[in-house]
Amino acid sequence: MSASEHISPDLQSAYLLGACTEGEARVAREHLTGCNACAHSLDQLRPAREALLEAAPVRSAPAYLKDAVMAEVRREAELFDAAKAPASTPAARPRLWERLRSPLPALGLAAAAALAVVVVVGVTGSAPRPLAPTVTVSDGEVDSRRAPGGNARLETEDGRVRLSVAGLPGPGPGRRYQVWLRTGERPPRSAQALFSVDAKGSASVVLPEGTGAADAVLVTSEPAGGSVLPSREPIVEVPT
Amino acid sequence: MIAGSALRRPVTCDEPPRGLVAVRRKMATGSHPIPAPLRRGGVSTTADKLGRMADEDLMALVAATDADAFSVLYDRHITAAYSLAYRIAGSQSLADDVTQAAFLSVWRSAGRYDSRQGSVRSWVLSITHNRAIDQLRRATRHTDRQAAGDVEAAERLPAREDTEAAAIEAVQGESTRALLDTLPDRQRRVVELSFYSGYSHAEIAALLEVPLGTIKGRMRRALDRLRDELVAIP
Repeated sequence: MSASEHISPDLQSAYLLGACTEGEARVAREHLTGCNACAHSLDQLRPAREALLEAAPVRSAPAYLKDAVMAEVRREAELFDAAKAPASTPAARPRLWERLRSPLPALGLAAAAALAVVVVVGVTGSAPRPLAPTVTVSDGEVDSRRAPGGNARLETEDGRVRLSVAGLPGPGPGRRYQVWLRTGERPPRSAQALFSVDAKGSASVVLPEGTGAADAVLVTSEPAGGSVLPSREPIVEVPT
Repeated sequence: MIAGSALRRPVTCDEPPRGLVAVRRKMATGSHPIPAPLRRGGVSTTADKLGRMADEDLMALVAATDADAFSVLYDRHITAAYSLAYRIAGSQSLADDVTQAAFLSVWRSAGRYDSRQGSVRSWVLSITHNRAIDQLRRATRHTDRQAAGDVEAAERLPAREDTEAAAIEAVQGESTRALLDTLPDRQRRVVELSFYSGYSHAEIAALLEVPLGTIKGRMRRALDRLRDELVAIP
């Protein structure tokens, strides 16, 4: 057949079932763009195809699949956002050394929050590298009611962000702690990190996406597979 | 102080279909109930709003690279997509790969979605179907067989009984049986071998040692019958 010929009823069915040769399918697609009669005829059969799409035995997708998909989606979304607003994005977040030269930021926490800086001097190579702080440590607040004596700390080294906690109770049966990134008033988004704690309530976890433009890292207890949004009050909050 | 409000986890939208009636109802209603409203709270506003939006409106946001809108669409359709991928690919690891690739494709090509061509759900499931069949064909070198011609293909395919048995064995779900059981055996086989196993009409003709025209006719009668059954359900 050619693109000018109507698609025979038999070929329409094979087309909908994906059973044509590639050549037949290509000709059919070309024909359909200009033939309302064939398009209409095919539409009559589409419900049957859609029923077949829905008819597979039900299988639940594993939770890690969403983590993987959303990690990539959010990464790309941030790239698009940055491309859309090139002027505002870098300015909104002062460079690290600028922040360090300023007085300590008001973290808005009742507990004394410490911001310590470790300066590492580059020693390799003959040309002296500019002094650059490569490690920052930010201590956060832990809910004193649920975790008296607990503490949490965020360490950033060359863009790699690690959250360490101690003195936390267990997340509960069938549950794990989930890490969230909060930016302004927006709903927290998953940092793609789930963890449990040892007998001392300690854990250390790397945040695979870093903290991006977030201004706080939160931790909540969630079902073991993770949640889409926080379902409980945060037990930990650490400013970035 | 620690800020944040407790939120209900968004409702899982995909109910297991039970029988042909459920399949029909899912298709008629756009397949997913609107999730119950999230509890009002400081951080729930956006999620609440997105959760109440229709698929088509969410797609417009996704096309503008709104990751939160995509997350809602993912939750609504993941079970159907994963079930389909698993049915075709036959293992969890392959279903994982197929579904991940399909949803990233949805994310990246959202701007090309055209509501005149069908619902968001059938678009998502069609992308998943295409990915799964491509994966299957790559894995089993279907494309080589197709290029090599029908006669040779028959020689390299598994014995007819084995292939049919495997295809039939894979049909385990109540809903699949309910739908496909409305078809005579011969029609059901060509649907399974083509739609869920990725064989072309020529391959099936060679496999079953039946003229190509007969296979195409069975495909036609199978889809006609499925359509009539669906229409007959109130």
